[in-house]
Amino acid sequence: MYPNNLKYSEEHEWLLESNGIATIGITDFAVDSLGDIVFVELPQKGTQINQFSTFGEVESVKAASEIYTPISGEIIEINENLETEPELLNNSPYENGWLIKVKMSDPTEIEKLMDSKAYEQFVNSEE
Amino acid sequence: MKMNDELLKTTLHQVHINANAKLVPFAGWDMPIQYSSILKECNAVRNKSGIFDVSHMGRFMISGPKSGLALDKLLSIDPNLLKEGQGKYNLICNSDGGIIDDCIVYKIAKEEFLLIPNASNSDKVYKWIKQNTKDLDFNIDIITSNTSMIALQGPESLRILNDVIPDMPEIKRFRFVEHQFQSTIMIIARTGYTGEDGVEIILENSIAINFWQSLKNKGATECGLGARDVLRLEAALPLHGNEITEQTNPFEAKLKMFVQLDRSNYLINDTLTKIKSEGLTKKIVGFEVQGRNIARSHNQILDHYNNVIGEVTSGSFSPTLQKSIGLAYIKKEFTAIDSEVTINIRTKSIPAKIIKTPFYKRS
Repeated sequence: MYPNNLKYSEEHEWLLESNGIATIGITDFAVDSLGDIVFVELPQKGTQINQFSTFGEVESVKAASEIYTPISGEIIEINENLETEPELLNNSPYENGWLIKVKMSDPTEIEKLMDSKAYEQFVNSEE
Repeated sequence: MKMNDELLKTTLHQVHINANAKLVPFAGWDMPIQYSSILKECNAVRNKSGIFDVSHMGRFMISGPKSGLALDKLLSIDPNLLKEGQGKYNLICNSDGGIIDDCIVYKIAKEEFLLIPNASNSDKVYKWIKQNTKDLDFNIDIITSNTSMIALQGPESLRILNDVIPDMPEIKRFRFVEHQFQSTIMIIARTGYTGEDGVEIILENSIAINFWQSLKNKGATECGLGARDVLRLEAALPLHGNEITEQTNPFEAKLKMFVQLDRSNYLINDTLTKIKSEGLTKKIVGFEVQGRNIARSHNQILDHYNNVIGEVTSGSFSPTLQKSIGLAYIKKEFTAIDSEVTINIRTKSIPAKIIKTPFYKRS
């Protein structure tokens, strides 16, 4: 159900690791419960972030919600398309709707995240 | 709070489930908040047509020799002045002038009226009427559960209605007809809560599912309460519990035009006359937020010196206007159009501007 090449946090973020760079987004479960997303607020490139702290927020028609980073490091890229097309999050949460890319400062932090199977169980237990 | 398994279900409940709607508890009912997307549903209503299951709203048939007098005592307008086949928006206020509910009253015959209170206030309205009309000869028949109610809203609504009901007569705005359809009688009123043209239809439960499917087959999009709330906000229509409550009066809610005073039967005529003559301290206004953050109910509004001058009652992103809008009560001296204020949205202070309402008006 959830892509098995990704790692997941309890705050419903996903992480894709590749050569020390983590691409981060929010899961389709989170997107579905938020509904239509109309605004995404992200920090600037170069910002240092710490695992499990907030780094931005998404605003949907129904509610606002903070986004937590699943990993520590430096933000090296943000998805600028979201500024004009926040609906990318609804339409393509795992691809075109990615949020930020982070140069990880401690890749072992990934061990604290869930794989797709564990995340699915986590979501089911929350519902 | 009622538990989930005790929630009331409309006749169309299974239809919503089959359509994969997201259902939420609302005023004791299990109601669809959205089908596909609130934004898509709003666009459908603004550009084509949408259908809403509003069967949760109260439907009181009020009849008998003193029915007109009973309502004249309690409503903010005199329903006896309506023509048969006419409806009017009005308020039911408590003895302090606070708003218990806003409703539409339809005059069916000289001694027969239909009152539509909000779902969340139906019990309160019923008790208020009973409590204040003990000596009067009339009857209240609550037909909420043995009928359904569907709102068909948007520029293509009348075309769709005519496709489903070929012998549909013309209805003027805020008028209604009782129309025979498949050997049942429907009440079809040219009213709504979206700022668009359209109708609200009260029909027998036995034909509700088929009728809903027919409207859908002719091009109406299924819409939930989420879209309904955004659409009514764009049209700056008040929502009871947000803009109007038992702590607000009709004048500060800018609903003066729905209050007829100098009526000898009106129970709180003197109270409202006094409130009106004393003038307002706060007033409802519309605002637009700079940027795309959304103000939410109860966010504080500040002046240039960071003094609290008001509170947000409703806020949303407006898909039609593509900006963040809302309604708020603000101290009267700060309500001029184009005034600049600050809204505390969670941890941030966001600039906003007072603007004219309605935010959206159909062309």
